[in-house]
Amino acid sequence: MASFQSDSGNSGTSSTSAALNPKCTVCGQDLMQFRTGGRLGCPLDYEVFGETLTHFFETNQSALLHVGKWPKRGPSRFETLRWQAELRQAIVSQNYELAAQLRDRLQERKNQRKQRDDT
Amino acid sequence: MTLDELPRSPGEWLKGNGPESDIVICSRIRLARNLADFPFISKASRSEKSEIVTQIRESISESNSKLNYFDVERMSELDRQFLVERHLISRELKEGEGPRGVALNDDESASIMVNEEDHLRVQVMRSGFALLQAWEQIDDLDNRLEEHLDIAFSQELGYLSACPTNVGTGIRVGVMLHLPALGQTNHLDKFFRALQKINLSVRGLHGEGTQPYGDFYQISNQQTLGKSEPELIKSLSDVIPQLIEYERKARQTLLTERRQVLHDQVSRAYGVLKTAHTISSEETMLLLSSVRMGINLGLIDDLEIAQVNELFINTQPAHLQKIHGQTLAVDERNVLRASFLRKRLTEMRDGPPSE
Ligand SMILES: [Zn+2]
Repeated sequence: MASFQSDSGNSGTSSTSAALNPKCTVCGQDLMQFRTGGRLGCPLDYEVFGETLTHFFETNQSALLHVGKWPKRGPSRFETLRWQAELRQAIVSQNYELAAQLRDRLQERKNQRKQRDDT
Repeated sequence: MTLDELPRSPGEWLKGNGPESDIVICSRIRLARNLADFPFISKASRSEKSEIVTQIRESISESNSKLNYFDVERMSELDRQFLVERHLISRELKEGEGPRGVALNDDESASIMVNEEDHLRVQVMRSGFALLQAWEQIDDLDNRLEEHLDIAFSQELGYLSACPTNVGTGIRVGVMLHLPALGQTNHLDKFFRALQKINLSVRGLHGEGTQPYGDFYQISNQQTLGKSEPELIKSLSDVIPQLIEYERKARQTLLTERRQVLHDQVSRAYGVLKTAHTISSEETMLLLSSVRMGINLGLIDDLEIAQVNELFINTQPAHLQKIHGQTLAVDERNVLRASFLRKRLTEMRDGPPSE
């Protein structure tokens, strides 16, 4: 069975907890949670836990790159997830101007999707 | 379509036809997919899960995929178990929480679980050894859905899944085998260890974490990254003919060296099924496994594989209760199962009773 337990070697470069236990700003999942549960919280965790995952792919998949089909719409940019996280942060830091902008962008994306689906 | 209208037939995977179906029960492929605009299931709120269901249901109808959606959250415990027994949903989806469901096509060859471990688990099952046909069907369904959905995909890592063990193609290719003769030899462990060395996993009938039962085994790929879907399918389908050959040889050896013992075992199994007055689902499965081998070896000639498969599925607890029309305790089920078997086996041998 796959294990995401620490391999001890590649995380000791900094003594700050952020470096030892990186946390995704989008979904809130941290590396410790991931190692315990084995499941990721959102697609951006693949970047956040990149180092751990690269090691895991090398050992368990003997490969680091996808070979195979692509979805019609191509790679994702995850804008909605990023903007939602930025919006939450803007509200916490009371940056209401930025919050309003982000809300508009998210609404616009939603409308675009509706239009595309309706045509 | 409602669940009660699902045919009383065994469903695609137990049809009992298709290539090599004396040994290969069915071929199965599933694809793990997630929507790019939502967190994975463990971090998704109830309203996000509902929105995921809505978007996926829209994509199913817009792509004209001819699938009917069933709401598993609001479904009775009995209906959920019924779908597990038909291999149309996983135990994880059955036991999950929040908005979730499954979309099925009419012949039950294709299904899409929504909000299981991933937002989408697309699955195709075909009777017999038919991985290429299964791939063509699932690739087409996946393409149709992806025209209407923003799928989480990275240029480097491919399809992004909630568990990193599925990343890349997100594909799991599997075949379910019936290996009763190899099961009586000591060679099976050796074969399975060899398969594990080439990154194939061996499991029991009901998938992850279950023990092999009644000599039914599922063999599937573990690697998902760094190889294309056709390459991963090939790595599995290359070893299956060899296993089929070993099983056939083992059956012939049993027939020549231990014919009386084998005939006795098969006849006793058949006899118990025809005469028992109370029987558990576990014992039923073991006995049907023997009968199935007996038919394939020509030791039983008044029953067909398709009929055995029908009994396999209809004697499972939820199926039995749905046929009976009410929920029953274990003891009552065991009595009902025995009388169902006696009745069906008589009908199968003599034809249905005349009016
Ligand atoms: Zn995340």
